[in-house]
Amino acid sequence: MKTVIGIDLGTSTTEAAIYRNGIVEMILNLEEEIITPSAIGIDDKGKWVVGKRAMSQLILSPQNTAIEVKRKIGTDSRISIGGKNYTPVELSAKLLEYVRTYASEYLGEDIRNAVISVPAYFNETQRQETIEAGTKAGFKVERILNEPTAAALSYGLAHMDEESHILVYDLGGGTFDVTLLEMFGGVLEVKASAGDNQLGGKDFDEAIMNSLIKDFQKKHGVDLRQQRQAMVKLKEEAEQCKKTLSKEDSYRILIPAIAKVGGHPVELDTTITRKDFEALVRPLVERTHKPIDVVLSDSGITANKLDRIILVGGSTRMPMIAADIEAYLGKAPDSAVNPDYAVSEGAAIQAAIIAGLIDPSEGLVMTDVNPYSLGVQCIKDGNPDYFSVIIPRNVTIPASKTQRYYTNYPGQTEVEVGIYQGESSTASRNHFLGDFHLSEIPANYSEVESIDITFSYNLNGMLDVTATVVSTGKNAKLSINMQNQENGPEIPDEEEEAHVSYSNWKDSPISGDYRAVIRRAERILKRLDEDDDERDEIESLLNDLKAAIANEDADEADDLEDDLVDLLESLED
Amino acid sequence: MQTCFEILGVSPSATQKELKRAYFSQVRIHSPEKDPDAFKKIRAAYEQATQALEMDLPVFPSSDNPKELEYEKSLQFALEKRDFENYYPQLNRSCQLFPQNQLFQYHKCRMMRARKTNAIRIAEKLVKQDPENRHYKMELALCYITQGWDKRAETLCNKIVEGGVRNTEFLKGYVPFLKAHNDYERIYTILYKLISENECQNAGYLSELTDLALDLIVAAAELDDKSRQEAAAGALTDFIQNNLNLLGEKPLVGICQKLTKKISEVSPDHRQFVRDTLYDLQNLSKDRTENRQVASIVDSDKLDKIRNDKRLPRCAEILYRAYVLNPAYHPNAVKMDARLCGIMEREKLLACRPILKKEYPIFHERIVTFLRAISTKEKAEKLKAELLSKYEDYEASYFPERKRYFYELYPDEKPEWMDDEDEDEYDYFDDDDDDDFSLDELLRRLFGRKGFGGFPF
Ligand SMILES: Nc1ncnc2c1ncn2[C@@H]1O[C@H](COP(=O)(O)OP(=O)(O)OP(=O)(O)O)[C@@H](O)[C@H]1O
Ligand SMILES: [Mg+2]
Repeated sequence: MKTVIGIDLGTSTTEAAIYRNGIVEMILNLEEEIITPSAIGIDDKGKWVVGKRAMSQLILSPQNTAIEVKRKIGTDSRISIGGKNYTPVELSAKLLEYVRTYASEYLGEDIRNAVISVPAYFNETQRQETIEAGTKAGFKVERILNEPTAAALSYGLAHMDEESHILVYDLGGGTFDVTLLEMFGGVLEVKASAGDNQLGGKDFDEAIMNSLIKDFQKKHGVDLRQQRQAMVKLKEEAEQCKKTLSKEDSYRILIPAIAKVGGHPVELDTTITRKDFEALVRPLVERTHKPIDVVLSDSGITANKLDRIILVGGSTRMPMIAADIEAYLGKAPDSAVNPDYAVSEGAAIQAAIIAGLIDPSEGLVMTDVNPYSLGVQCIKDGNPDYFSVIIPRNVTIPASKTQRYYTNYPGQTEVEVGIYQGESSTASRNHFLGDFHLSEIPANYSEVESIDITFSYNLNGMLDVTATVVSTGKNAKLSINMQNQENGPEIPDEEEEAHVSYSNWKDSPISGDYRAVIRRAERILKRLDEDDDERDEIESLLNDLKAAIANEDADEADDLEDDLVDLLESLED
Repeated sequence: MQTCFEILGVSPSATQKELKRAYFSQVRIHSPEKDPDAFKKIRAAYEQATQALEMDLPVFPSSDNPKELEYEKSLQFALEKRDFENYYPQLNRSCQLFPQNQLFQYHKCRMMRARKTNAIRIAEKLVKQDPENRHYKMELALCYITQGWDKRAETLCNKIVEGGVRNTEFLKGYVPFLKAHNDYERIYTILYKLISENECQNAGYLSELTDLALDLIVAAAELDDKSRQEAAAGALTDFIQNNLNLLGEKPLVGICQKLTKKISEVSPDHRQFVRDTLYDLQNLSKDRTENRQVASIVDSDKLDKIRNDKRLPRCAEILYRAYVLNPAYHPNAVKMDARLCGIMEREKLLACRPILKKEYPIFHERIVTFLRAISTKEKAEKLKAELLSKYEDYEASYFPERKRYFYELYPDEKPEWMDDEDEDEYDYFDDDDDDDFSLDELLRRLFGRKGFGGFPF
């Protein structure tokens, strides 16, 4: 029988565990430690180093080391190590390769199968890229499991007979998740998940750093952000400060010779009290409230019906977190699970269920939900970009749902089914998953011919979409398969993407700042002849600007605006 | 031919707890891991059964015949979208094709009743076929009520409500019937039981229950009995608090608005209790902005009272001054102005808009919409006529919803009431192009894509 391990691939730390002989066991790495820092680097001999060794070279050669890669997964960003650019997937694969090596060593067999956990609030692309990283590292990824669900599984296995509502609050290094579950008769039912992929311990560190940088600039007129070395030191000290303040009331940050001012080295010396710190990060803590509200209302369970609040993730060690939860929900969290191990333990339990080591008719059974709504783009009340939800968020999976739609104008014989994931009522602002065509609809008056669209979403994250002409039974299908890139959603090509972002720039929250210049440019464009040389230039700048606005990238938009204004001014003279 | 209850192996009169136990024990046998298709079936049955139990809905077995199943599916979609009118002909056909199918018969009866055509015959047949079925009896009772057969309605309803009733459709027909007969005693008994016991899972059901909870307050007011009034107010408060997270963003605002409307239903001597309840609701919310909105509803109730006392001119004057002098009164003042004068005076509205915009963005939005509507109604009509002549196949009824495009037709004509500050908002309707674009362009925008539409409403 194949051995399947569970891996918690974290933003800051990574752990692995195995279920054997009826218990869960944490796997030790080559340094004989359970916790591996999620750091990857190249040492001075040009060899890859991972974990503690990479972490320890971070200060000396930050340019050869990468941390917090997980926050970048699912994006196009590249991470530079030793002057070469890597994708987040490549670097995550290095980390997982290390896990595979040490797990094989620890277990004395070649380990090739794993359950990997991800934040519940990861979207399909982020999940897909995590699988890709696993595959690159030589794993067959048996399942992607939501982190809070995993934590609950590890709790559930030890409390099989409980009947309770549990809220799992997972604040890690880079992500925040909250999940509401019900334990009943040996079944663990996830009722709702929500979260914030861009909120974690890292942001608390950065809050401290930003305040230090601001003070330093005020005092010495030097911007520390420009100096990579100083920033790395600052980051280390900020994290140390944060952790110390979890136990003590104040912390002195002392970094000698952090930068040169007027040729002389200057030190940074400040004392931060817990009160200062808590005031500084209050807005971050408040960002956890919205996801909490979402899971409560999606699951229809009021705060007073919660029996237990479980804390997971290193950042929940900050005392203000427990205090905030108690103030917000009227119930104190408890420390029922180990905040560092629970997720990987749960992943190992899921691995055992898949491997058949835990019989569902005797042992624990678990059901999970899909964290984002899935649906199609359709026309509603004249809006051609309406997002019509077919499988709503927080529905138990596997699930199949059907909705009925109509043709939109007389004689329409084909439709385009665009599939999206997300919560915006504007389809194109959600996450695009794929599209296909259904043709041979009998020509008829509008809204006579109906089309049934069925979504089937299974545990492996495979979404099958079928569109059927009700009157003839003619259908078309698309499978969006996260485990297999070839059949995966088509990634829209550059041009198409630009077009999409271009058209909805007005919906962007930052659009107001640029309306004037856009209008001005369009006025001038109209004045110009078709074959005017400047025409193309203005048009392309204008489109880039709109795209930047649509992407809410204010920096980029500001740059483009400057360029555009320069150009316009030269023309208006 | 299994109902959701049969799939789960429980009786249709099971409790929620029993249902849950049955579901979870089935999940252990057919886990999503091992047996996903069986799991999906169980899950769907569980969801249907919980809802049916909670909302007290009838349950029908689904047919084995694929053709019949297809028709059942269509009915399901129509019910979800409440698209009865469009669906009615097809339902008629379903009934002809499958006369034995009680699902079709039941819904046909409902729809006929809604159209006030004689549905009694079908209902009676259903009751005869299945005399144990409470829901058929409810349907028949509602038919009697719509038909005005009060005696029969009363006898049947008395039987139905014996064991308690939670079906809101029935109650929404029955409560007004009782009101018409001044039987507040009975309304109170039924609704008090319903509201004080209820814990909701389902937002749609909740909003219907909320309406009934307010009827309970009305009944208690009419009964003019202190102890029962206290009990009713307590039940309402508990009900709101228990279901707060399902009631939406600003739960109390809507409830208070509805309750103010109810005041006029109560006979003049008994209104005080409703007013008191309204004031009490003010303290329920923790949210400051919501509280402010609720307070403004309560205030306007106060103003209503002045109006009822026929001190109109005095009132109008106070109010007009109030919104210039006292910011707390702005929204009410404007609202009352509109009501008292019978018109919205544009100058007055304009005068207080800057303050409103800052202090009461929601209200401000409404005024802007209103002003906008005044300036474009004519244009909308004109365009509609124009479009109709050009595109005959297109259904006229659709135009009001597509108003947005009308604005796009007149991008550079700025209504005269609009100040510079507004330009951004107006811009939303404005398009990239400064020129009027043509009718063809509009049509392209409406029909040009290969898109598809949602179910028509
Ligand atoms: N005592 C402490 N006080 C405050 N923060 C702490 C403490 N110990 C650890 N942390 C923080 O916890 C974070 C790491 O937590 P954890 O290992 O659970 O995250 P992760 O699993 O790597 O990240 P994620 O789950 O977001 O991907 C770091 O930001 C670290 O600074
Ligand atoms: Mg974690």
